[in-house]
Amino acid sequence: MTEQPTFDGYARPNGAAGVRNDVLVLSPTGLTAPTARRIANNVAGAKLVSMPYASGVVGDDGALRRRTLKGLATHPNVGGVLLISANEPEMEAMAAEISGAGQRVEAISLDSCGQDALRLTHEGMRLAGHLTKDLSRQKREPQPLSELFLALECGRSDPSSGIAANPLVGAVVDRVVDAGGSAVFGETMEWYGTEEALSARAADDGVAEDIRNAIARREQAAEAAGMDLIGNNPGPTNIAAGLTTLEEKSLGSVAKGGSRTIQGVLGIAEAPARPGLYAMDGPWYAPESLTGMVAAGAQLALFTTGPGNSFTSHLAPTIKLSANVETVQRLGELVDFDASALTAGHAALDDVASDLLDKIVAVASGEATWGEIWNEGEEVISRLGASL
Amino acid sequence: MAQDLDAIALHEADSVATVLRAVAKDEDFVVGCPGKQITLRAVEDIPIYHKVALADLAADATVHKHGHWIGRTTAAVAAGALVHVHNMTGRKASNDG
Repeated sequence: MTEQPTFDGYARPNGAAGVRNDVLVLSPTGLTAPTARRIANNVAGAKLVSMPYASGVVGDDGALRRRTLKGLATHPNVGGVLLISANEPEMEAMAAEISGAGQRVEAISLDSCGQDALRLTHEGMRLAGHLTKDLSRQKREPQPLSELFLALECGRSDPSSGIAANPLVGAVVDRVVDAGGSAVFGETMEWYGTEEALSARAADDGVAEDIRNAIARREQAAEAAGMDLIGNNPGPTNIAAGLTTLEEKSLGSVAKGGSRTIQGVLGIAEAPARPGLYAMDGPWYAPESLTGMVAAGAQLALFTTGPGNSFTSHLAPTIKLSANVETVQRLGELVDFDASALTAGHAALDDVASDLLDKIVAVASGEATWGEIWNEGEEVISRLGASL
Repeated sequence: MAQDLDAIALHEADSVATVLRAVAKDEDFVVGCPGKQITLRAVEDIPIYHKVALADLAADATVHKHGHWIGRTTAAVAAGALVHVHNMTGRKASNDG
């Protein structure tokens, strides 16, 4: 047994570890989103998460909104939150909930500023500035790998994804999970055709049933929307690139989840109760998918791409990796990890997995990703239905 | 690593490997399998990123990649032959159309 690496992170009051120490300017109401943006733009390092909706988001949609906003506000990478809202009673309840979860929070409403968005900007900047000052005094400390929770994403795939980049991520995920850490993969539609393979890895029969049901629900939703999942999947481009069956295509995608036991199927933004590997029943589009996993508590994302995909999470540093030789040469300032030695036949998976784990530890300890440097990050909260 | 690889098999249980470059008929090529490397002779041209049989496969045999079932052969396939939509099919889709 080799000694497990540690990363230098921020110890949080609730026991979690942050890999960043951000001030989050959070606007749960669309009316205050522009004000929140002005504040975040004018306070060094502050990160904006705003939702363009609020009143009229009801039912499951309303529950998802509240769960996601709470998950982002109490995220381990966030050291303090400034809530900016046009709904004072809701804001006060949210602030109490965030504070109750051990997170530092300041809150200010548009109502308290007499509906004056400029005054709200001014007051909010002062509050965010003081949070920033306080957080700047906190120091990183060594944290075990078991504190790490990885979000796994792929976007814009090509043959290098299924045979190299995703299996590479899977190999690293196995190591992190074996060290007591956690990981989550989403994009339920990409599990289609892997029902047997995934359910065979379920922790128990209930989890296996949850996996099969999640796939069946997405399949029904796609069919109800008039999509033909079978006739043209894999499509002609996939087949010309060497793929044969849907099972093969989907296994290449879920390979990023590694090979360990799946402890449960999470809803979007649902935090796991215990460490380990999880599947999240969520949308396939990367901006929504990433936010769902980050709101569940993932501090760092591993994002594989074939020809390139620049999008990253805002709160979770996102290590963009590609095994496509041409991509890593063309996108030198967008790809964080070059896995092309695998597709060139120059390196073995285990060796490259060790290099990727080193990169994860470096980024978790403060090394900036290209996405952070270019401000690529956004958080996008899913909608499930129509507003009232 | 002993030498550069021309193909990868991702799992011990896999019956196919994926070639990392175009391999020509009658060419010997190196397959990286978990923990070992084997040399195989191509019995026909294998286009880049396509699959090649690691052993003789009977007709209606299961094809394994990523350690899992990805389909069945629709004809006998010799070791070193191309495994693609002309000689295998999945469960959900019929890929002959």
